[in-house]
Amino acid sequence: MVEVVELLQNAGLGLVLLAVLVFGVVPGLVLRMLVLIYPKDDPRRRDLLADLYDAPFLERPLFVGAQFETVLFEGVPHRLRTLKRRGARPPAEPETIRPVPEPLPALPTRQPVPPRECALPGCTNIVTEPRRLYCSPAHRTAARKMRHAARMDLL
Amino acid sequence: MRRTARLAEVAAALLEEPYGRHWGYKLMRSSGVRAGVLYPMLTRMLEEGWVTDGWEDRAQIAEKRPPRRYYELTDLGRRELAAAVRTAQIAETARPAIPRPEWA
Repeated sequence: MVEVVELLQNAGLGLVLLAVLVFGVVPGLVLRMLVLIYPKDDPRRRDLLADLYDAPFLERPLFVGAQFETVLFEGVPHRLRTLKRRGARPPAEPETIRPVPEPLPALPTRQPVPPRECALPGCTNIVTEPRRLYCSPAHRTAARKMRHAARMDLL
Repeated sequence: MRRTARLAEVAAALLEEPYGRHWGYKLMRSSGVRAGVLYPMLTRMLEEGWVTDGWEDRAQIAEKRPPRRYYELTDLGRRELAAAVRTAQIAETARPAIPRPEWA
């Protein structure tokens, strides 16, 4: 404690603070920023920081200065390689030969509608058209009139 | 990997303890090779299978610092690095001496 007080008296507070910054805080801070150039999963990030604290206190600023070269020659190429890999398109899937689909089952053929008689009571004409109930438009009109008359009777 | 003078220096430092653990900073000091050369060289050695790496056990660290990464030589690495050192020594001895000028 006495030594610290003496140091403060002799060197001045500003100089001591500067020494603390240069040898204590700045090396770690600068190196932490430098190693960010390495890709996230690169073990060199942790490695360099651990080696910083292995170096003697007074050598740390020089150690950090030397790491500029390491980062330039190792970190930057690693980062560029990672970026290139990320930017590259995924490899194209090999062209597969689609299997020929099996032929669909044949649609059931329309069964021919059997010929039937005209729906007008009393008419025995055969209706040839499959979707018609009456043999002629006159019989259709006649059947409609009969239905109408029947409804009127009910009322 | 290119057999350079720097590689021979790092190899000599590694072969001082061929079966021990080597740390980045200590290796830098013992070999005298700059960090910018040493660390990329260690990465290449890892890729070639000359060294293996690992991390210090956090429980075994007495000081207040993060665990360091260590490097250990493999059999292949010991052979290759010994060859690199030998090549450098041969090149050193084979270098012709510069003749001293008469006036010196």
